[in-house]
Amino acid sequence: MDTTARLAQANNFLQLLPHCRKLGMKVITASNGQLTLELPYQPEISGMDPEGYVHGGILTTMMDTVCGFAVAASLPISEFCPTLDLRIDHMRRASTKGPIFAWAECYKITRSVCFTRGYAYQDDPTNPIVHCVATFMRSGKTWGKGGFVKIGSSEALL
Amino acid sequence: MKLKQLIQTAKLQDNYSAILDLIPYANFIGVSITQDQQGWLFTLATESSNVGNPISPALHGGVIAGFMEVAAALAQMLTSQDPTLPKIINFSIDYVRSAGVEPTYARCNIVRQGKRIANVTVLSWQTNKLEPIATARAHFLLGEEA
Repeated sequence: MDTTARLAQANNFLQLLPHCRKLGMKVITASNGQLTLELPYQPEISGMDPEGYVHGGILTTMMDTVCGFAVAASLPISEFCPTLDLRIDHMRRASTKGPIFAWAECYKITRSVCFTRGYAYQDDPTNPIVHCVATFMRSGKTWGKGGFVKIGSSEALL
Repeated sequence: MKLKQLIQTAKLQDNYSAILDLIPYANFIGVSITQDQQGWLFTLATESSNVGNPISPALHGGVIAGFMEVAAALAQMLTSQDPTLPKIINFSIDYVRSAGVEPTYARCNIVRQGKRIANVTVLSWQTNKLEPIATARAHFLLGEEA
């Protein structure tokens, strides 16, 4: 699949996730198992701060999403991979002036687990807002009629 | 109003909406607070917009993490003698069960309350507290008195 088709597929899938749609997230780059998401600022997502900085939960949501998408982009067959764990470190606060970008890659896949890492930034990718590592479980299941089904079974849609 | 005063009023009236209004994100995902003999109980309302996996369907892992981070920060603030606005340093979450689209609860434990740093653990569950959906740990930097 070429880069444009991969990007379109990732965006179509992202729009199926209600919470990501509510946040107005979109995929802006997708290639070689690496992805970048963009999130627009809105006052409703700010945290406990008079300046209106984005809440940490929003950054965790972005990182969980982008790391999960990096897993999907790295596996040969679409496989349901729930998050096993995630750790996020906050370097500084995000400015309310513009969008936030989140980048992730899946750097190791074993038979059972996918390992990812990523960061979020605004103007400068070398000066991130957060760093993150997350691992995902391989379920051996894919999207099928009426729910998740075993990969390779006749009910599998992908 | 000063934060300490706001918290005292909320505790007296057993109404925490003024505290939650300080955190637009808490209202965005639907967090509420009650107090019982075991301490603060945090609840995440059932909202279809919190879904991350429409097939199961299941709540978005990021929403669960966000809910638990909100709970940890509030528990720290409500317990503190001199409440300040806690700044998140890092957050680590383990997902142990999938979370259905139903009310979700959290309780926190302030492991260490220092002058500058607080360490808080959070347990989250749905129907049965003995079958948690996630456990988390947060470090907060404590700033100036608000």
